[in-house]
Amino acid sequence: MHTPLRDRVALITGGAGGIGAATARKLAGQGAAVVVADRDAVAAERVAADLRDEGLDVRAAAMDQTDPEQVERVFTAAVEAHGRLDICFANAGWGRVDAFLDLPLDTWNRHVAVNLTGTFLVCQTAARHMAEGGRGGSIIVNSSNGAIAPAALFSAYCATKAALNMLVQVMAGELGGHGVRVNAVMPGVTATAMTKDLLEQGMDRLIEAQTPLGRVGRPEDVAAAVAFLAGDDSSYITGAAHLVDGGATHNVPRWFTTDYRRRGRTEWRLRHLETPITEGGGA
Amino acid sequence: MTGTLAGRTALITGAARGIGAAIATRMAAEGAHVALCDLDAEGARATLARIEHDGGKGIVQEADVSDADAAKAVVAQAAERLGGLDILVNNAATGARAKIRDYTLEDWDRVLAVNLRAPFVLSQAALDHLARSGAGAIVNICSVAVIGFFGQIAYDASKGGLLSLTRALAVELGRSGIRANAVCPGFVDTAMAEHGNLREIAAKQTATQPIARIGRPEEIANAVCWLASEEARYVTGQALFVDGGWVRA
Repeated sequence: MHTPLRDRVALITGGAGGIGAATARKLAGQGAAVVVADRDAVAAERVAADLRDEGLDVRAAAMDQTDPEQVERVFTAAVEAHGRLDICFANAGWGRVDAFLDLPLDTWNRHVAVNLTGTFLVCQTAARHMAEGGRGGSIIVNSSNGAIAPAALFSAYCATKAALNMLVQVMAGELGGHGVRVNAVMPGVTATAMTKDLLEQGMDRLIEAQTPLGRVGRPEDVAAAVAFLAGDDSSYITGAAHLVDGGATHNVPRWFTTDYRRRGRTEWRLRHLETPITEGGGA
Repeated sequence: MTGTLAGRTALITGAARGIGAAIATRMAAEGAHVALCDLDAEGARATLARIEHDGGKGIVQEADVSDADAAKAVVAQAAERLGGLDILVNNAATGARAKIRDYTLEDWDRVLAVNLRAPFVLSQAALDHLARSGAGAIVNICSVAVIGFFGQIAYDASKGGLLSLTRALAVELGRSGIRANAVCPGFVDTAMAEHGNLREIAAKQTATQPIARIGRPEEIANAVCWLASEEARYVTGQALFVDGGWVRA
């Protein structure tokens, strides 16, 4: 077996989700010892147990990244258990569909707390352990193509993801002296529990139609990019943001559209399919 | 090496030295059969000899890709001699250093012909071969100059154009199963660095970037190989900066 990540230790947040679990499998398959952290402790343990059954070195940890104490505790425990931390995939995120005019403050705050503040805490804690360890490391942040391509009804999501891209660039600049590389991946729409509801509303066909490679993304697509950025083949790459979107972003996608000629009567519809959007949630 | 390109065939322009030679070497090590195209046939043969010494396989093609007929012939012959074409790497490039006021139209045309027109001609000529592959991949070697401050107007414009060309190829050719991506290197340790005071400039520049050293050609090759491989099967239209954090951090 090819194990370029042998003797490396990786921590993945949101590790029980689709992209997190696929990345745990990928990194562990390349020889890394992996800690799967997730708010859902039961799901995290299920992912870890499945991978252990395949002979991989994976443990679970319960962690809500909006709580600084939990983040500190889980990272400290991981470093104590394995003696080091080489790779952190800051993957956990949260999203909801809302028209800007109706976006509740609580929903906005939740995006900021999970996607931005939570990812900041995770990255800062990981970077401190890596700097202290003195062996360098690789931090990969799960952003989104929504960080560079606006999507109607996703204002809070896109804004927090755009903020992450800049956080990655500044972190890369500050952490270079510690040998820590920092990069982002920007998935397009990927088939996971987070996007299930939207995809089932007909967005799957829309994405297929608008994406040059003709399909919705798979968690394994993103996991492969994370593994590349985690390993030594990307030794000269830092501060970058990598699209894993089947080319969709450069085809200028618009998922939800409205007829702007009808002043004051904005009605958001899934483009092409003319499927009325009934309610928020699930994105 | 893990054989990520086993059974594939790849055409690399500007393959005699530097980044192109490193790309051909790594691709051959990953199992690809490589066509090394260069103006400098002797240099390409020397690179191929090293590849063959390590158990790799390839051919040498002497051509000036700024000549459209020659470029088309290179693609046709590479596909014929290698038995198809899965990967095209547009790496050959040139430059001319002068202030805008002094820049000659001859230099402008020459730089654009090598850096921008040739990748278009080669990609167009390779379309059917790449589509037949089922996993066709084009990788264009751009530059941090796509950000726009390298100080060579034709070079900067050609690399910006090459990135837009890459994205257009990605969007239009996706349905043919062809992916197109760009790699944007920063300062890399090649013969080009020996020109004028470039090495001195590189030492000053790289001291202030997060990865405080000049890049190795192999590090560019690693990124090119990854983009060309099945690991990047959902990646197209991407600009991958391999620059030690120079322009993005």
